Amino acid sequence: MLEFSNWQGYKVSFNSENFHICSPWQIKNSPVFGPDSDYTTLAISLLNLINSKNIELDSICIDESKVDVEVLKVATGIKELSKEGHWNLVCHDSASLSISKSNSIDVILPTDLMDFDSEKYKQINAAWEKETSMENVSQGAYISSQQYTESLNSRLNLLAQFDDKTIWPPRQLNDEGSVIDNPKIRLSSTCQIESWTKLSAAGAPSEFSIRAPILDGISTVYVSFEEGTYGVFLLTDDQNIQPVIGMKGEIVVRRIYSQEGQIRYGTKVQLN
Amino acid sequence: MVDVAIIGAGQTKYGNHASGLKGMWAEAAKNAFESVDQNFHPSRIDEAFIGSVAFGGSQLGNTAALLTEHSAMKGISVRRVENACASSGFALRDAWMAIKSGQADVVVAGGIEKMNDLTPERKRFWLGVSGDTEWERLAGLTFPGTYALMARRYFHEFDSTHDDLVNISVKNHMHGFENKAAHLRKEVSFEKAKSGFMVADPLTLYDCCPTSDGASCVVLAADHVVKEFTDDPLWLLSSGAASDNLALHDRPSITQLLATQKASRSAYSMAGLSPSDIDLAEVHDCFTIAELLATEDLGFAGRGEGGKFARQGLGRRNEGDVCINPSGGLKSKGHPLGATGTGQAVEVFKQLKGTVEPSRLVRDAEIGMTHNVGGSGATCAVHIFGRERNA
Repeated sequence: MLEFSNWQGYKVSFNSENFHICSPWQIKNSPVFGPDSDYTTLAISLLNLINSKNIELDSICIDESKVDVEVLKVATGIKELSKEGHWNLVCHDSASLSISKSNSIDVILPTDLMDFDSEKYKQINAAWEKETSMENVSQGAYISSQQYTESLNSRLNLLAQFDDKTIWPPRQLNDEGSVIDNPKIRLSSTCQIESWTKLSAAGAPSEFSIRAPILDGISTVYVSFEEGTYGVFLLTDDQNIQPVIGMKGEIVVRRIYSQEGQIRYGTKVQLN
Repeated sequence: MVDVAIIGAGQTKYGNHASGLKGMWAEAAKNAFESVDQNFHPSRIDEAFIGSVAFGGSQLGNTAALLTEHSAMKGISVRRVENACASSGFALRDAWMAIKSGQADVVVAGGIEKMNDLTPERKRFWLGVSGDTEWERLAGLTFPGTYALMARRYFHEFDSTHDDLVNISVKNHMHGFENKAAHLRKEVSFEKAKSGFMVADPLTLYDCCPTSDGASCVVLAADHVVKEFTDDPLWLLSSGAASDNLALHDRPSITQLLATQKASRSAYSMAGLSPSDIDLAEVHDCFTIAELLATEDLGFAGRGEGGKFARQGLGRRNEGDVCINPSGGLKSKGHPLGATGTGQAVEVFKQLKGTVEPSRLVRDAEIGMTHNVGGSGATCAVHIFGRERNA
């Protein structure tokens, strides 16, 4: 049996031909997604793991009904998907997912999962359903699909520009009035907490007005990267941990909010 | 170069206002006109600049044309000025520049916001769209969150705790208690302010200004026409303004507002004055940490000493060298976004002319300042006023 380890806030196990990822949360011994995770975020995280092992997936077959393929492509650099690939990405019912060369995959689950309040889980799922409904008119700031897509690569991959110093998020002209080159530098995925706050549900942006009361507010951190840039991010899976200035965190991809029926993904900080 | 005087100033009471935009603006304008000592008629106004975030969006376009139409200024050149919470601070600067340039003799600067006829969700929408919507807001930040990040970082870098912010809140509530125009006219104890409902950790309800309805209006005149209207004008000695990166993460430090520093340096230099010359300052305390930072950025306290300044009560009326927020500030007087900047000028006008309620007069005040900030410091306008034409 493969052993599980922690990776970007999830549980992973792997050998040369099988990669498996699972949510760290459970209800009655059955894994469930956390408040801002889904198959897309699991898939991105697992493909990042595979990339980190310098394993190249020549072709991959994906269950497109459960994964946002466009976001996956941007976040992982996967160019081509095929209906019949050497590798299969399979979504399991148990908030887990596998990438394997085999067509028949034995689902294995970790044993050290954290308990998720079942009532809160139901409320969160209902909130996402409501928020993602086309009938829901967001009271949040309007960020068009085009604007979201334009910055998605920099957002998901922490791609920065360089113009005497590292710049992130991307900017247009430098102090001399010249166009700054396109983002090419990938920031390190670890960061340091420089400040933090937890907003009450009443103080959270309207984008989060349906979910924030269920989560007892939302937490935001102001972090520094070793490349010299700063950023602000929501925390993910912080139910049982409070940030401290100086603490390290890891940048991970999660759901942010939903607008016009589209779930918007972005980066959050997982506290180490 | 033409010198500029304030000859009239008026406002509505801040708070939950029964009137709509047109009624509130007309009330503020009428109060300003009636405060002019003599011979004033609205037909003398050449230009008007009205600050507003157009809260709620009910009259997002041509706001100024609609408002002036309803306040005896129909037909003149008007425009809405928008720089978030600093909108009317910049409207005042634009009015000052219009006279300085010689293009106008009598100009109105004002501001307005109607905030309390919206649902809580729509309020939060409008309150949040002056920050960096694409990167900060999607990281969960509204302005309480942004200023909370600044506060926690400040406590980490310097000798200061949340108790210093509590002192600021208590002081401003004390100052605003007797201000008839104030939104929150109630004194609060240190213990009560310290234990308020947590809005954005470490900021509690008592660290945050209220969302207010309100309008404010000042009338400016060129030196060569001032005598027609008053023998006792208040001189607008200087105007400084600056901008900075919109988002916190693009700034080199989040415990100082560079726009405030730059704008105040410009205003001090133009007036030939220094921080020690200022008798009273209306400071942009949208959150108590904003006042603490402003006392440093405006030069009233050294870097890192704003907490000590607050702890020692140096900004209290008639106790220290400078009275900070004699009106009660945004914390107590209220914060109708677009009206706040010229509302600060209304307070300075009344204080320096000695027409505020006698119990809250800053004694022997000759020089006053207004400090109006947009968002978390992306824009800032600083003005210095004096009883004497050449301070």
